[in-house]
Amino acid sequence: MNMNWPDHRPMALSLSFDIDAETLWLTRNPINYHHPVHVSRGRYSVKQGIPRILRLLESEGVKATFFTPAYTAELHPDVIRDIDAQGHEIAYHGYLHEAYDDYEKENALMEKCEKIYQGIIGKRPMGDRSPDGLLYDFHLKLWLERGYIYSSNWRDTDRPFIHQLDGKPIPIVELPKDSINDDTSYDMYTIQHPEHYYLKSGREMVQIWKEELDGLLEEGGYMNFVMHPQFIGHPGYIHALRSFIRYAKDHGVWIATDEQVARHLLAQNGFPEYGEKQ
Amino acid sequence: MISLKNGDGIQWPEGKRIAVMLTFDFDAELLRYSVIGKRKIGFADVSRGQYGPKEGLKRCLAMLQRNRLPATFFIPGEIIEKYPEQCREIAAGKYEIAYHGYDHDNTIGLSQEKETASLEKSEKLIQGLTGRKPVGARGPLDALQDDSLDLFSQRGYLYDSTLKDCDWPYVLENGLVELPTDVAMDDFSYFYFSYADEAPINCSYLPDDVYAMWQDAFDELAAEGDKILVIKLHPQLIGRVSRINMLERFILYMQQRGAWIADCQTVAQYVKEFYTKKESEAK
Repeated sequence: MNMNWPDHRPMALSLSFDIDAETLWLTRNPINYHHPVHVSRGRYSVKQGIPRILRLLESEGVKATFFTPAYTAELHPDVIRDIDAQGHEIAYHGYLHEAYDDYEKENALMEKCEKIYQGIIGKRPMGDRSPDGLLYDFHLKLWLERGYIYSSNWRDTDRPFIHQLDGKPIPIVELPKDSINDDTSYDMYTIQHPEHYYLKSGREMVQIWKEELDGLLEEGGYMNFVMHPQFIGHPGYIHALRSFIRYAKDHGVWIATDEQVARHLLAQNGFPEYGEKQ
Repeated sequence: MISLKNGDGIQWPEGKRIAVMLTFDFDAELLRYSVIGKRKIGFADVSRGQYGPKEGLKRCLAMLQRNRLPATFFIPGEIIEKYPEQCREIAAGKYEIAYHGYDHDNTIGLSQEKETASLEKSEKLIQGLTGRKPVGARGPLDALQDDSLDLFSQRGYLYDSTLKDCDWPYVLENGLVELPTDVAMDDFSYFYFSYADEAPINCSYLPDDVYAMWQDAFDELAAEGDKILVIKLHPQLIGRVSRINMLERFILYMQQRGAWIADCQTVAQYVKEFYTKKESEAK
């Protein structure tokens, strides 16, 4: 696996967000359909978190990927248009934050969602981060058929790799992630039965991320993130995220969208026709 | 250009950077009954809840008084019946007293008749203390029903402070001002400790860590300039001496950095007038 980053940069990272918004609460517990306060926590994502995050990304001059349930896109098309207009990437994340264990149903779901994104921003998603981490044996084949070029689901390595089907490399890159780089491990609070999640500070969150970055910098690795605007968009956590982005920039890290990283890696690993679109 | 707005451009009096509200949910042991949704809890939990009326409230009031700070107390009607002396003391300090349910239970699934009855009963009890009906409401247990906000508006309320959808105040279609809150600015998220639930809630953070988290949030919001910060406190939790000292230091920090500290009614009134004026100027 060749991992030569542009301009001889020592490592790469992708700032990826999952805009689950209301779906995070609605799919957790059906009571929440009639729990306006919990729904309002989800809505913070599109009403406050994303506007604040877009300004942060703009002022730091970096691009990010937003994994977006198509339901969120339908409900808040202006938000999705703004993200796209800023040069960020919209990627696949289910309709209502779900994934099916049946090939036909999952295929139909992906088609439905792709049409929704097409209708709003005129683009299709190039990557899939499957909601709730649900993946089935048919997914690689399905992605290949539907023209996806990356997945961000595996948690077993810090290194991107090229997926294989029937023993042969296919033009799909894995951009791995894990809960250590997932903001909900630190900034999601709920005591709604049966879940109890408590808060850690933004300072602790990015201290862990900075220490990870320090180590991966030496190894020349890659970091991908799972960040939820409804949590990390809160002022104390944005404060911390800004300091992390500046830390990464100060260390010469290539900060790029998932799609940019995927194309860059495909091009140097046997699939030159997928090279980065300019 | 980013077209999504990040705030509503409200400007605070005298060039202040942010409106900060100190709000105390004075729930005593009712909080502990409603967190687990049961009418029966153990002695330890009842007693922890009663730390509020017995000890914590005094420290909260003393801290407010020595710093000459306004504050809003959200008090369930049943608490006014159970702890009349403590509530009279709050009223004597001219602090705002606002609606917070009658028995503090989650209202979801409650019929409109029952919610109205709880409002009527509690409003009378508040009126008995302050001489007037409350103008603000906060849903007990961080919950509202689909039509609760309309109900508040129909009953002539000025504001609600329960939702969590942004960091700026806004006027709802029904005319009610919403002063959103944030779980990260709630002492419950850091200090609630109980074994009463099937899964215990055992938070006991270092006050300095909470201070740092609140400081970061405050700094960011004050820099944006058109935001509010509603600090949600419970005398039974924040009233511990180590925590009230932390809160006092945090208040001083905010005052040094452009905070306009006012009660919810004052801020809601200001917000309503600001937007009404802005709207009429736009016409």
